[in-house]
Amino acid sequence: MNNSINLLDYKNKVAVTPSSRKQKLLRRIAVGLLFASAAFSVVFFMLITFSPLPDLEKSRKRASDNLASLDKDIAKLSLINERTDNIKQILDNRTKYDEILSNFQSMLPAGTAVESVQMKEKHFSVVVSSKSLLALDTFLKQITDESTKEYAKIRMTELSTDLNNNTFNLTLNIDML
Amino acid sequence: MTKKVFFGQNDLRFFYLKYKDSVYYSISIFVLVIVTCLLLIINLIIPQMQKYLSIRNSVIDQRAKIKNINDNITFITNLNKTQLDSQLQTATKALPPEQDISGVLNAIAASAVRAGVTIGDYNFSLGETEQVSTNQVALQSTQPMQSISVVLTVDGDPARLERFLTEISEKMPLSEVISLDSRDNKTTINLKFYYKIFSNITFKEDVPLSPLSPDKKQLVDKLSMWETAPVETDPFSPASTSSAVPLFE
Repeated sequence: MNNSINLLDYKNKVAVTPSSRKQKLLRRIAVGLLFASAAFSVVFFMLITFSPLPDLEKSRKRASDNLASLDKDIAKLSLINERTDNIKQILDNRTKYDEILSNFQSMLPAGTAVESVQMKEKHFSVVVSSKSLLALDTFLKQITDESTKEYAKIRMTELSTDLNNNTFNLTLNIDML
Repeated sequence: MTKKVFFGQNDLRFFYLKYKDSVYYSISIFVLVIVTCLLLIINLIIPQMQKYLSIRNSVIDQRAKIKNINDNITFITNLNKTQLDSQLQTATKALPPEQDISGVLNAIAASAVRAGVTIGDYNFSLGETEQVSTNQVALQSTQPMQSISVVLTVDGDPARLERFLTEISEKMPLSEVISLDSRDNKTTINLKFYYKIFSNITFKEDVPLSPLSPDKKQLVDKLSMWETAPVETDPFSPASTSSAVPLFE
């Protein structure tokens, strides 16, 4: 009865059979994929369209404009930071000649005096005079005892006599640590 | 006879009628749907997902930037402006942005008065330019440090000389003794007074600002104690009383 409905007479009759398991699986996969594609595309479309990014960009611009009105104070702060960095560098690196002189003077025993001193960077040359060789000897002992703390090298370059003043002059070249 | 809408219409209708009840028809439909869905996923959904992730990252960045900017605004608004101005004044006095000859003369004169020495001949010259690098994150400064060289003669015994060196080291603008040559209570001192031109400041608004570190605050406080009051006695005029120490011979 059903065969008469289809008027076309074909050679290879393809029987209409109930769908097999594989066909059902394929159908489920197709429907699932279709549904998933539709759902994800709608979801992502909504997420992108309604993202807060444009509002956040406007907020950032407003905040930037507010901050720009305070740029003078920001500049002052940055200048202070910059200046203090440089000042610290100057103070750390400069040689403290006053302390060097003071320490040196503190080692001079009674009866000795500094005749002349030349200082440059970490090197100084000094002439110490005294009427007494003993005083100069005491001074030498004192300075060599203290040498490891401050001085890298001490060289005695000259010991001379000043007959006019009756003094002995001791010349030292000292390198600081 | 039906009119053909397009070429092959009858052929298609023939194949449809021939195979519509067959398993191949349904399989081909399913395969077509699966292929179409896969193409949609690859060409549409995955790019949309990437776009969404990129937008999400941008949202996170923007939120962080807005937070930093607002924090910076709060920080700057709460700063003590008087203290800031005072600190800036002290810092620029210690390291001026230009040659401060009057400051140099004042520092020398004040040091001489306090040390009890007299100043003899002196001369000024522009010193070398030194490159200084700073390590600030948000701000970069590459202006070199410059100096004014001063060679002056100081009359005084070693104790007073030492006092003069201590005093000049605590005066502004900041100086450094380069060399000294002392004979018979007469000392020639070679000094360098530093100055540095203001650099262009580049500021990134989303980089958090921070207050002065405790070390720097302490340094500025120390410098403010060194601020030199102008010397009342004109260093270029002779001493008016016998008790006054002549500064310049």
